[in-house]
Amino acid sequence: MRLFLIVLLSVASFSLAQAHAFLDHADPRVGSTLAASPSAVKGWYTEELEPAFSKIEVFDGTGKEIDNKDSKVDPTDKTLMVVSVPKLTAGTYKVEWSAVAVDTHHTTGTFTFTVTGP
Amino acid sequence: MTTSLLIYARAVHFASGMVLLGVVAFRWLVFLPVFAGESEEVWQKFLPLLRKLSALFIGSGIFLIISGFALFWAVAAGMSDMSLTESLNRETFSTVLLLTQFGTVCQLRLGLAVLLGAMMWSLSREHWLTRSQSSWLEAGAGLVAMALVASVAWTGHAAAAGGFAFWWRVLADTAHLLATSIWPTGLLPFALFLGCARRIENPALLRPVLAVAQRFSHVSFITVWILMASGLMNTWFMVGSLSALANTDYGHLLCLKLALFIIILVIAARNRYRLVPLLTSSANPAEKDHFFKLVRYLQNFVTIEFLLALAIVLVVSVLGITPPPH
Repeated sequence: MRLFLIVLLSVASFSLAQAHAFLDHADPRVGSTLAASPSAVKGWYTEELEPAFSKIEVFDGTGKEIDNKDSKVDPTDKTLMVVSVPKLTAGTYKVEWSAVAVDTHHTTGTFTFTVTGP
Repeated sequence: MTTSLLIYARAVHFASGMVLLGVVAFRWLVFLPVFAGESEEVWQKFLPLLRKLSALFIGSGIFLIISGFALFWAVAAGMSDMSLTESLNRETFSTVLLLTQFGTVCQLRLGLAVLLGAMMWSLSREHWLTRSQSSWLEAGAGLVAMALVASVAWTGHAAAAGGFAFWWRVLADTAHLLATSIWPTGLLPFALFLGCARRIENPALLRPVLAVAQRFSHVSFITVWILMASGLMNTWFMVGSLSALANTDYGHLLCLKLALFIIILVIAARNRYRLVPLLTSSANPAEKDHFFKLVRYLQNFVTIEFLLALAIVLVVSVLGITPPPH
């Protein structure tokens, strides 16, 4: 009984990250520098995503959201999340993503890329 | 708060579903095959046990349904990144229920839960006191409970796998969940049976009590192999390497689960290879007192095994919210 209580209490005190869908790779690549503006920002994740709770946003250097607010999970490849962007001027852009995998777990993350060209 | 509710609701949901199935499995696979041919006098002596099994069946069914709702609430809060209080609104619940894979499975499980509740309502206590093994209603309730327990596999890590691996993962998860319901979760009804036999302490019960112990031992033996095979498959899918087992939270929890399982296995082996043979050799009226003393020992060990099994369910519940390394 004592062993049971010890195990019960020790397990209950675990504090773990509820993170499951991780960013596998992105286009533009994480931290990359581009000569010209991309037409969209894409993120591929390690698990299939729930469209209703997943989104990706792009912000400029002043913190203003500059994407077209049409973030969506690709219906043919549910590991891919896409948001289109207008023609970007030179600068560093921050991408914020929030993903819920089909195993119900929520993850968030950010990365940046830089545009040097017109 | 959400994490705590998620862990405990999941643990209660798993445990109650498995206990419910464990009661059905014990009644069908062990108790009735042995007692079907026993005299009316012997049968009557075990009516208190059957009443307890009936209460356990209905009680665990109620816990299964209530914890299912709590689990849905916790998952909805986690998915929407809200607090439990904030998430308690129609929009969040309907989005989770109607627009996610988890919600689709929940709709199916809700239907099964309602069906199970109706069946349990119809299964009067008196029905459980009969020797009938072929009641369609009881068989139906057992199948619905199996589907409820097995469908959990579609909401966990296995469900996130794509393609061919998805089916293997779901198959391994389903086999693991169902086998666990028979052993070690089914140890609870077995412990209740031993307690009942010990209290009656009648020489006429020596043979049927021994037969139940031997039969449960055989059923458990087969179940252990299914558990180990499906557990190895799950470990391979989720962990993939020894270094991941040693260096990740998921791996550490899995090791804790394995350690608890090994302790249960050692106790079970002692019961099977030491206590059951001793029971066999003392199953005669001249050694009645010694026989029932051994039954008490067996009941104590079986109870310890069951408590350790509950601890494993809690570990599994934490594993469910921990990122697997593979």
